[in-house]
Amino acid sequence: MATFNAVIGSLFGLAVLPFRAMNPWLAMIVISVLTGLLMLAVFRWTSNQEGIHRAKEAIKAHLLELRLYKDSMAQQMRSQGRILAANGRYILHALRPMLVMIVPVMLILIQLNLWFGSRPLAPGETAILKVKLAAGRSPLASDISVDAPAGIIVETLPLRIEEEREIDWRLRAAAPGVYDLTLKAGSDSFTKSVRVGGSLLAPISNVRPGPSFLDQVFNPGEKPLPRALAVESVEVDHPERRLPLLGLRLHWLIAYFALSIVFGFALKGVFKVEI
Amino acid sequence: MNRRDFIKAGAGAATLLALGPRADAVMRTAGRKATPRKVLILGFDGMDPKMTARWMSEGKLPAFKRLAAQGGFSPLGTSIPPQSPVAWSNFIAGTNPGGHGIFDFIHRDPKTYFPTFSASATEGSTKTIRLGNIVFPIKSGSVRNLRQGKAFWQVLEEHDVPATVFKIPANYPPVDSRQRTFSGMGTPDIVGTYGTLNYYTTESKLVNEDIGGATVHQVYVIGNRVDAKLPGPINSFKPDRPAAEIDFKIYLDPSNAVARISIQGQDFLLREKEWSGWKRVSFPLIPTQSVGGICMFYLKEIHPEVKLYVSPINVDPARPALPVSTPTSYGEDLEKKFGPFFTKGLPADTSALENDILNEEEFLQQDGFVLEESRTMLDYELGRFEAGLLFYYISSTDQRQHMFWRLFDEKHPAYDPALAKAFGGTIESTYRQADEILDRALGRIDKDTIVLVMSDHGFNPYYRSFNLNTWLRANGYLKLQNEFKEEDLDWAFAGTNWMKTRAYGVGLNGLYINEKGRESEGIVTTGPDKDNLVREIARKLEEFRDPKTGEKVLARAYVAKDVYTGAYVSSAPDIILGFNRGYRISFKSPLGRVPKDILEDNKAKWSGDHMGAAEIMPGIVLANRPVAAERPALYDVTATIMDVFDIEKPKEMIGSSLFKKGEPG
Amino acid sequence: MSQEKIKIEKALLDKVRRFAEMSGYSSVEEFVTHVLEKEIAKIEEADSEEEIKKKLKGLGYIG
Repeated sequence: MATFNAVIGSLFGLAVLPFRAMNPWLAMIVISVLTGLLMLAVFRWTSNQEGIHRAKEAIKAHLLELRLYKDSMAQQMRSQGRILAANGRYILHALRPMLVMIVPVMLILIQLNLWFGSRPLAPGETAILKVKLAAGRSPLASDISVDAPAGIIVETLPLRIEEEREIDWRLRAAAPGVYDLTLKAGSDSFTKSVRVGGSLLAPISNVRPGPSFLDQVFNPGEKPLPRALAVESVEVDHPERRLPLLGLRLHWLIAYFALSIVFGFALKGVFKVEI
Repeated sequence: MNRRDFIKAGAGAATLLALGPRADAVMRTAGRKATPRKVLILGFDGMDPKMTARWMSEGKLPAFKRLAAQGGFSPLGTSIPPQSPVAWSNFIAGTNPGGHGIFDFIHRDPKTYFPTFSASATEGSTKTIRLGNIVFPIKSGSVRNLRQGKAFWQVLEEHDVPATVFKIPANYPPVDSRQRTFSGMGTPDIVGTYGTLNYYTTESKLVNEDIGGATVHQVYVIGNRVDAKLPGPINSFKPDRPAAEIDFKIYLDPSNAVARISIQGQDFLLREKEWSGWKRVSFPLIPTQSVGGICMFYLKEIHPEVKLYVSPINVDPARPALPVSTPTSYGEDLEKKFGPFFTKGLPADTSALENDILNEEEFLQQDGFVLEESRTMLDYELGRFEAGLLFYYISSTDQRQHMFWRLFDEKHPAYDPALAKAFGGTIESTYRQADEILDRALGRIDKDTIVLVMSDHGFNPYYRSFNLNTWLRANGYLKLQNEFKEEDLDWAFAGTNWMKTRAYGVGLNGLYINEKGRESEGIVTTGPDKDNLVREIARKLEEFRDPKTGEKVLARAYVAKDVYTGAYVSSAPDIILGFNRGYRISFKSPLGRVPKDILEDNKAKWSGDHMGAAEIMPGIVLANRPVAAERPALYDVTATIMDVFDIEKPKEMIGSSLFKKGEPG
Repeated sequence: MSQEKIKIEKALLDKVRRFAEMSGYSSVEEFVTHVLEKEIAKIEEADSEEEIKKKLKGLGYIG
């Protein structure tokens, strides 16, 4: 999974690379166009284009019947029934591409969240560092400590929460930079990334996952922690990022869906895809 | 408004929602029309002329001294009585209280003898419909500013002179205007009170349900966790009108002095003795409706006891549940620039200090946030002050004199030598902070700007408490139903025999005759009977001496008819008490209680005050132009504004300009 | 408006009937409704007095 994440991550990084220093909307638009194209392609190759075309024509024809044979009750009923049936066929034809697309769309969304979900901490801002231990481990028995690089200040002693198997520290961002916090547990040590300041669009990883497969899928920004550490995850919650639009502050998910629908429909004619 | 209506007016949350500011497209800031002159007014609440003069001469207030040398410095005649809402209203309307109708912090309803807010009235929706378990308002509630007369910035607006008026007292809700205004003293918290803090403690001894301005919650640590509830506004969508609540958790480390507070999806870590900064909370009412506010947390102690202070929940300026600014966008814009800020009138938490919930240092930390925020926002307003008038208000000068007088005056009954060592200089350093604010402002204005510095009243010690209602009873003017019941009677005149009562006291300076036809159970007939009684009581009050000191308790007992003019004289108290230096009304008498003793030592931390006769309680005025007026008063400052902008003074305004004719330039 | 029945003791009901008639109410229902409304208003009022007291108390000048 780690290798897979690395590959997908690099692809995404490559797509965004030319726009990182610009307005984040630009990167969002580019990704929406690219993923829109990808989805169109998937739709075209996996759906029965001929079948979809026929279903849509049939619906049109029966709609016409409805208008033409207003006086015949029986004909009206028949047409209604046929429209329903054509609709059913249409949905069936679209089902396969949907199923095929579910996985890539999820992966795209996870990547988008990495890039657009959070913003770096501003100097002076605080965040909580949370270490979640593996099942069966007690934070009171743990000797995990944090080593912060210059630029990040650890402001509190560890707060050990037994019932959540969790140890918290409060961090304060002091100077801009991309940092790795080092956490030590006995002779082992591991790191967690923190990003402070900077205007470049960059992936921001809130959670460094443990060995669980699903956690890795959903948190692709950092390599998973080795199983031997007995740590389930380590987390620094960066502040939420919003995309400004005419005084509104949009969540990236809304921006992305709106844009991909617009581009999908705009481009379907160009690529002669029947949707 | 009768008692029932007033009671209904208790600002329930559904009312709050209905009151929320309108998205009014027409409301926009008045045109930024260029004016040949500009006027900057800094209002420092409660700055006293004697102390100002002393510290000026000692070189401790260099900016004040510079300004005085440039133009002038004079005591400023205050209102009768010298309470902030009354005094600032004199300035706002340019009249005496007879012209604006605010006579005290607290008025009374003559139908019920019940104390009421003088500054604003909230009327809940009286028309509701009940669907299932939810009560929906059909007609929205309203909140009204009870101050009468036109505010000076409304007059300026009529003449196209732009104005920004920041947190002037007695402007809640802000009166209709296209000028930029933000409401000040009188703005409630979202629970609808003058400020109710929440205090969570594992100590059992502190729990006193009756602490004014505070709700104390007894909490328990179970498995290093405390589960607690933050109470919000009354949920009037529910038939039994419960308070809306938010659950929150405090996670404690078993030995380290650090805790995490988790509330509505927000987690934050606090060390012992740390402030959280502003946190947003949202009280759910029904699935589609909620009321938002802002509050700050202070973790006073983690081990061995847990002690958590939560400030009164202020209206969130970004999503105001109550009208706090004109135009609505003004408050929202400030929030965008500065993040959440104090919106409750008088933000310093004097209740917390009075009730030992915050100590002196902690109180000053919080009031330090208030002052710092004021400074920053003043800088911003000065930066865009291009025309017209800018009024800016500072509350800390008043609040700290109230709370710290006892530590710089050895004669005060609550003087504490140990605390005095640490905090005896608080009042002086507050004056110096005021000086720094003035200094920064003076450095940023141009030569066409007229600068006025003013306060609404002075200050004096509050050594002894006067129980007006007890005095009235001792002199046969007020009768109880059970004359032998000597213990502290409940408030709002419970147990008063109105059939035999001729006079009663409500508010901090007010005395009313129980008048036939006005009071619901009035017995004194209007005309000579009442007039003679008023004169008789006033004379006796002025003669009354404190048996302990031999001093007069009152310097003056003003008869309303003699001292007020204007359209609203008839709703004034009949006599206004003007206390002698060192004296004040007790804490109990204003709400209609009749304690045992007429006079008591004041052992409270609330130790400085300003309820004296107007003659002995003037405020200050300074200007960077020569002050020609000999005995300027608050309403003269209003007239000065009109003069500077060449606006003919409206006929209701009674003052005259501080400056010589043709010489403000 | 929907109506529901409640049960009260016969002796009390007799008394209620007598007093309703004496006080000039047109029906027992009217009398009972009036008395109940008055009592409830009293309780509501008492609650709200506490509320107002609390609200005023946040003002530092009073105790």
